This record gives sequence, C-alpha cells and structure tokens, in this order.
Amino acid sequence: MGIEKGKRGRAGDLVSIFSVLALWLVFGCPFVSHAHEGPPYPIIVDKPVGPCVVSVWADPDVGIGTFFIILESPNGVPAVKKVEIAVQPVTGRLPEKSHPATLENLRGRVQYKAEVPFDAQELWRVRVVLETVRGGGEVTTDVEVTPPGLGRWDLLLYLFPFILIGLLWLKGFLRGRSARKRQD
Amino acid sequence: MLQIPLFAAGILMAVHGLAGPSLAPKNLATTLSWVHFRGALVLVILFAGNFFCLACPFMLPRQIARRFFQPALNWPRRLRNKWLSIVLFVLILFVYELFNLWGSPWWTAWLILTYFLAAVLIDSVFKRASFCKFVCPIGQFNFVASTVSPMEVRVRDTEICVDCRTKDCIRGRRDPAGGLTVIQRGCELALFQPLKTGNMDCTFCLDCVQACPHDNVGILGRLPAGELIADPPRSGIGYFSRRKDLAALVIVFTFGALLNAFGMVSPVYALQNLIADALHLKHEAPVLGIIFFFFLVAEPVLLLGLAAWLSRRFGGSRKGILPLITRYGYGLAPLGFGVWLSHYCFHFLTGLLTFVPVVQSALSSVGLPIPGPPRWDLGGLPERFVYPIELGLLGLGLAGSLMVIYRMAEEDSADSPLPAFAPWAGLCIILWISAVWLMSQPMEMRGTFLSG
Repeated sequence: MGIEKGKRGRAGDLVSIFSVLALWLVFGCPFVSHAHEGPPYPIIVDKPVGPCVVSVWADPDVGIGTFFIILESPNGVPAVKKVEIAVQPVTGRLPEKSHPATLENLRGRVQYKAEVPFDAQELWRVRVVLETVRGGGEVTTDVEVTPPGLGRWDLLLYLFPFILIGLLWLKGFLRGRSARKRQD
Repeated sequence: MLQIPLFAAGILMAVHGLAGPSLAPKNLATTLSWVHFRGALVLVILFAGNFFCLACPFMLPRQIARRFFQPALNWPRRLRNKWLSIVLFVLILFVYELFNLWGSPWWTAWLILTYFLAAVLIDSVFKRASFCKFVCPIGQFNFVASTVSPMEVRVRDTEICVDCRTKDCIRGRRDPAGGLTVIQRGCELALFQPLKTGNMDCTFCLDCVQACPHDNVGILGRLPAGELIADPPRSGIGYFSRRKDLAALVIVFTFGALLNAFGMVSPVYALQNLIADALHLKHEAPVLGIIFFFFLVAEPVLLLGLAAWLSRRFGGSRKGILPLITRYGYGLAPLGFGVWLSHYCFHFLTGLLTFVPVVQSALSSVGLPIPGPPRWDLGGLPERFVYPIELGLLGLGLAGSLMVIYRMAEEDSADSPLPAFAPWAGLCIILWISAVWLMSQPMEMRGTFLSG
C-alpha cells in the first residue's frame, strides 16, 4: 500500500508539473503578449503605381495593424523617396492620417512595412502612396479591420485539446509503467 | 502507387523552379517544398507514421534504374552509421540559410534534382537500401520524428514467428518454382521483424508486410515515444545506448530545430551583424558557420554535459558522462519534434491555400485554361488560431520528453528517479522556453509574399 501511494505520488508529481507549466504559460508567460505578427493577407496584388508594380499585404488588427508593401519593376525598382499608408474610416468618422513605411532588411526584395493604429473594428479606406525618383502614384482599397481576440482566454480555449491529448498520453505512459512493473 | 504522384509533383516543381517565375511565392518549387511538403510531412508523422518514406518519389527512379543496373557493392563498413547523414543534414540546414533556398526557386529546383540523382546513383552502386539507411537526410529526420508516431510496422503475433523457417520478412520471398529469383523483397534496411523495436530506420516500405507468408506483419497502433524508454537490442540497430551516432542524430535533430527556427526571426540578423562586426567578416558563410557551431556543437556539449554531470552527481549513476548523454539524449526526440512541428505548422497553416494561385498561374503560363484569374487572395488560417496550435505542439513535445526521461530515470534508479530526472527535465524546460520565445518572435513568412 505504501509503495502504491508512492507510485501515485510520483504520477501526481508529473501531473502537478504539467499543470503548473500550463498555468504559467497562460497567465504568467510574458511571451504571450508578444505573439508574432501575421499572417497577413493580400489586399492589393500587382497594381501598377508609377514606375513600379505594387502588392500590399495587411494584418489589420484593432490596436496596431501591419502593412507590407512590396515593390517590383522589370527595370529594377528606382530609388524610393516615400512610401506611406494613409487610413480613414469609410464612414468619415475620423480624418485621414498618414503613416510612413520603413524599408525592411530583406534580400532580393524591396519591401516596406508600416504599423498603423486602428481604434475600432469597421471598414477603413487604405491609400498607399509611393514616390520615387522616376515618378509615383497611389492606389486605394478598403479593408475590414479585424477585432481583437479574448487574449489569454482565447489561448486557454485553443490549448484545451492539446492539454487533453497530453493527459491521455500521460495515462498511456502510466499504464505502460504499471504493466512493466507487473512483468517484473 | 503513392510514389508516382509525388514523383510527378517533384518533376513539376523542379521544372517550374528552373523555368518559372523567380519570385518564390509564385513558384511551385519554393511554395510546395518549403510551405506544404514540410508541413504535411511532420503532420503525417505526428498523426500516423513515416508514410512519406513509403511514398518517397526518389525511390521510383531508383527502382527503375535497378531493372537495368544491379548494384554489386556493399555499403562500406566504416560508413554503416549515421555520421555521414548527420553531416548531410547539417549541410542542408546550412545551405538553406546561406543560399536562402526558401526564396530561390532555382536553387530549390537544383536541390530536388540533386536529391534524385544521389538516390539513383548510390542505390545503383550499393546493395539494399543504402541511401535510405545511411545517407538520406530527410529519411533520418523522418526516422527520429517517427519515434513519436502513434503507428509502427511490427509483427502481430510473435508466436507465429517462432515457427517460421523461411524468414521471408528479411530474406525476401523466392520463386516457389525453385531458383534464386527473389519475387518479393524483404527488408532492405536489415530490420528483422521478430526482433524489430520501434520506428528507427523503418521506411514503412511494407516489403516485410508483403513478404510475410503468414500475414503476420502489419501497421499497428502504439504509445507515441514509448520505444525511447527501454533499451532492448533492436534488429538492424543494436542498443540505442551503444549507438553514439544515433544519439548524436537525435541531439542534432533537436538543437537543429531551434537553430532552423532562429534563422527566421529578426534577432538572427542582429546576431549575424554583431559577429561580422566583431570579427571583421565580410561574407555570410563564416558568420553562419559560427552560429551553426554554437547551436549544434557548443550549446549541446555544454547543456548536455552539465545535465549528465548533475545527474551523475546527484542521481547516483555510475555511468560516465558520455554514456549518460547517449542514453538520455534520445529523450529529447519528442521535444525536438515538437519544435519542428510548431515551426513547420506555422508556415503550412498560414500558407495553406497559397499553392492554389501558384498552380493556377503555372497552368495559365503553359496555355492551359483556368477559370478566372489566379486567386492570390487565398492564404491560410488566421494567426490567432495558429499561435495556440504552435504552443500546444511545443507543450506536447515537452510533455513527451519529460515522460520519456522520467521513465528512463526510473529504469536506471527505481527507488529514487527524481535526482536523475531533474537535470534532464531542467534541460528540456530550458529548450522549451527557448522554443516558445522563438515562436513568439515575428517570423518571416517564407514561401509567401513576405519571405526574405
């Protein structure tokens, strides 16, 4: 009986370790608040703007939305003076606000990135402005800004199946362990 | 049957890589290789087993070549281990970073063609499945990953094997009319079914299943990672604890997972610049070499050595440091697989449908009609679903490694396993925290428009 309690105690140790780790991940882990960006989706594809062909991918979340502006040109992308993203709610609730995009450190690709604050989930007009030494232009589209999730509670909900599988896996290991002990 | 469509896909990818658009997200070679193939591979291994080796397209030309060229040589004895394949695995990871394979359809196409050529040449010269067992880096990856799979090829009833005199599962089945012609191959990886344990070195080719005259071999369910706990003699492999090369493969598999993920997040560029400035290096290759050395040699030696020393000091083990590392190193396989899963699933799930417009574009470029313009708006799952999946897979990987290592510690010291278990558990947790941090960084969307 004492040995059985010891075995259950060790299994209980394992369950406790996993539970603590899971709770820390959800409620204490600082990494959760810095979840990585993306995935963005294309909002403008291969549109001619001035001397370039422009594609724009966006991750328009409430809070900070991210825009990636890719420039291509058959004759090589000319020197760029300015890339900007200007946004305004389609309803006109707020005035248009411009945000400069910065060149990303990528190889074999001319890509700019802009981070734009959105305060509400609604349809926003997005205007992409390009100026180069060989001319420029702009292109406009409308984008639905996506709502924020539930944060840590979202995470716990989506992690639930994995926790369940983990517990089933643990059960399998404990059964194998018991079978082995009986054989010995 | 499965090899034919994958072979056709491989050829199409190579052709498109050489002759198609140079922009990676618009090319089949890069999109299918680095987004879809890798993701599908790890998911199939997770949910089933090493079915990608079963469907390996590189084996089709090899089979055809063997109808004309019978291999005459045995694989050199000195190379009958995993060291060569470890070097090739690391080389592929290195070349992937150095030549930005994800962003280069041309280089990806040449990698595919080189792989085909290597498989055909090696298996045309050397007998049995020498390429699979001793060379193929993808195969070695699959072998280690499939130690965590829920399915295994094994005998149904060992009692039937006791009375079997012909041992067709490994010798092959000869022509019943007499003669020496083998009409059904046996296992070319030297895995004798009655003594086979686990999925290591098993390509799921099912030659043994087809050869067995008693229909006593099948694909059966099992406890994932259960094969890592005990250390019985394994047919075609020997004892895990005596195979330093296999342990090294598992260790490189695990630390390589972290390295490959690290190569895609922004801190890596800062680190590369720091190293280049400090050492006045102008070329990327030596900088990458230093990073690779740190991740795949220095870091494992330090962390594993420390864990082994602590385990010996406080766990009461009388084994040396190297034997302890060789034994417990296998316990890292679930965590390593969790990192690979998390990383590859990120790209696979976020780029799930990106192959559709690429295929549409490829078809229209050769004059084949497609309904409507290419659907470049198709992407994949939203990030808010993908990130929890990544964390869940990492969590399962950690759980698997902790359970395996605990059972290993119990096998070594039944009365007090915790002192032996704790240092290795600490190591796993450190690696897991690193992985969670990595997956939380902005990651390059390789194979999509935003790859760099």
